[in-house]
Amino acid sequence: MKYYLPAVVQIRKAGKLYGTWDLNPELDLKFGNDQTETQYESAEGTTTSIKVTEYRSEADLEIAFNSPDNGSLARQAILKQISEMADVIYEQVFFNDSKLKLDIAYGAGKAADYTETVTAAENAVTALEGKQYEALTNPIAIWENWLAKHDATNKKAAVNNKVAKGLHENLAIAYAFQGNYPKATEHITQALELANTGNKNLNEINRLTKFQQFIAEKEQAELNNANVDVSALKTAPNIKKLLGKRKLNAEIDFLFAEDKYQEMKDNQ
Amino acid sequence: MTRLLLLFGAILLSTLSFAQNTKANTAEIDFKKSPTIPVEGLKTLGIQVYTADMPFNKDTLRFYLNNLDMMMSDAEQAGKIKSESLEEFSIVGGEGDVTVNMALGMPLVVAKELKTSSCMGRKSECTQYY
Repeated sequence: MKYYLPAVVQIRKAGKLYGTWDLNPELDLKFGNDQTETQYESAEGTTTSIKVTEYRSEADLEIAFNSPDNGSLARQAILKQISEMADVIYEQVFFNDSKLKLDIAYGAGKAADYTETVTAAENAVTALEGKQYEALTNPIAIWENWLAKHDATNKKAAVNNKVAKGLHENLAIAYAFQGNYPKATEHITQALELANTGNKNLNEINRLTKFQQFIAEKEQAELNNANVDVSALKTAPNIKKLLGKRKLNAEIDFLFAEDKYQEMKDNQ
Repeated sequence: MTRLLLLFGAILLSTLSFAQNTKANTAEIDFKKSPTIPVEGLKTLGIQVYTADMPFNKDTLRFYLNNLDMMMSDAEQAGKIKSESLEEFSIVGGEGDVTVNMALGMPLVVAKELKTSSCMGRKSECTQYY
């Protein structure tokens, strides 16, 4: 079923707010015929039981669904959002091995000889894959020169909107890996503007938006962790296991029955 | 009429052949993604989840949290996703050197669909909402 549970996450250090993330509130849940593991502690010890909630008729299901004791949906939703919160922690607090696939564009068509852009794209791929980011300087110069020919009013121009969009995206990628974030942001913004002009391709807009976020996070990471020594990193704790496994979470009192949603939304 | 259509097709084709576009080469990059939060001196990571009026508190929800462990993706379960930190640190409830706060808003059932299928582990039928 479609269930809506908004959640907001904030990370602070020494009182300073470093970021706010609104989690996706739209959840797909199921009510009935689900399995729940519970544990009860008593003086005699701990009892663990696995319960399957099953309803044999629509009427039984409806009664259970409307019962004020029905916490199944809320519980499922909270667990999903806590899992999402853990993912935010992994992304924002830990070091992660990442893989990126980036398309480096070159011109194609009969209006001009695009060989120079083809060579620039090949050289840029070699530079990116070899982490030789200084070698991106030459492709950058070529793409900037070609962008000077951009004619937004003429589809037949050598650098029409489609070609310009590809070149702006190339420049955003190259500048991001060279650490020139203002330029990277400027070009990804222009690529997005062109992607939102005329026939829109949602996959393309999503890809560009994701890279825009990548640029912002890379800049933030360099600003806040520029001088750390990453030569001897340690394996980070598994948040989901620590919060999820009862043997591990017994001493971690992290759940509070207080309403702070609006307060946190207002304080971003 | 046929001549007109052929003429129109030829004009369209010639227009398309002049429309410039892009092709692309793909770069595959492996790199270490750094945290956006300053992590130097991080010894404790505090977590505070505010559950508002949900029918749980820290004692009751904790009973169900093993389901969180089970909800991890296959890659996570197999330990294929490995995160790293600058130093070893511990997770605490409440405030830490870095504190993560999460607050939940008002829940709402948006839409539900009735479905009947075999019960978990039995041949008999159960009804459920999807």
